[in-house]
Amino acid sequence: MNVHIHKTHPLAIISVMLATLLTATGQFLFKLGTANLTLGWDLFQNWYLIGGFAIYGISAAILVISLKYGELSVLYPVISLSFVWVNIISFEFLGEELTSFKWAGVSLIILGVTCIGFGSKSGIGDDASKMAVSQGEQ
Amino acid sequence: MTTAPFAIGLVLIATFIGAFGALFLKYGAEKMTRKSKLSFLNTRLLFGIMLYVLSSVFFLIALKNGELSVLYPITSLSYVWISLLSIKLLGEKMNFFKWLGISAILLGVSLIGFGS
Repeated sequence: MNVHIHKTHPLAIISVMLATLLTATGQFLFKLGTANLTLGWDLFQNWYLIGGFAIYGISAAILVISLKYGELSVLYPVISLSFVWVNIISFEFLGEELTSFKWAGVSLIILGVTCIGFGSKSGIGDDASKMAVSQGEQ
Repeated sequence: MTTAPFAIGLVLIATFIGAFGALFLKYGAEKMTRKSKLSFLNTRLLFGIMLYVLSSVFFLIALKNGELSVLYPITSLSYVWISLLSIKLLGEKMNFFKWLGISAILLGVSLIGFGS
């Protein structure tokens, strides 16, 4: 029908997961960097902010490269895992409260990403993916 | 703090722009080749990045004028838009497990918003 990839390589899913972990780490560094923020030349010596930006950039690059190897409808929802990391990091390192609502939310997101992984067509092995496609069309 | 109606509108617009941003990131990613090292600088990718940044700006302005418990559930609509765009414009197929996953994520993000 068209040139777009209709299968998702498991490595693409794993690298998006890695990217979300990096995004959350970047946000954590931003949080630390903005704690005692002063405007001016000091910004260029604020290593938390600089580190945060660098990690954000790396994460974005990994994300875009991953998109080449899978379906958007599979890989984009995986990004929601960043909510999970942010909540865990905030609880572990910033002493923020992990309410029962947050716990439930984190669990549901993990469950949701698992479901999407389950529903995605694997890109490993051409025969297997051809079979998956023909089964899907029946 | 209560949520201003325009903040809800802004987040709604942000989810649309963000969804198209992701779509163009995907278009741009497919333009990248290993042969040409500079192929990551293609217009589709740059347009996708621009839309993404724009949607973040909209979201940040909305956050200043609203509560997470209201705005987070609306944000998660972007997963629905992405699914629809993937079907319509990328020819991808959804199935029971993918919709189930999207629903769980939608609910999960909303709960995190409620719990904040």
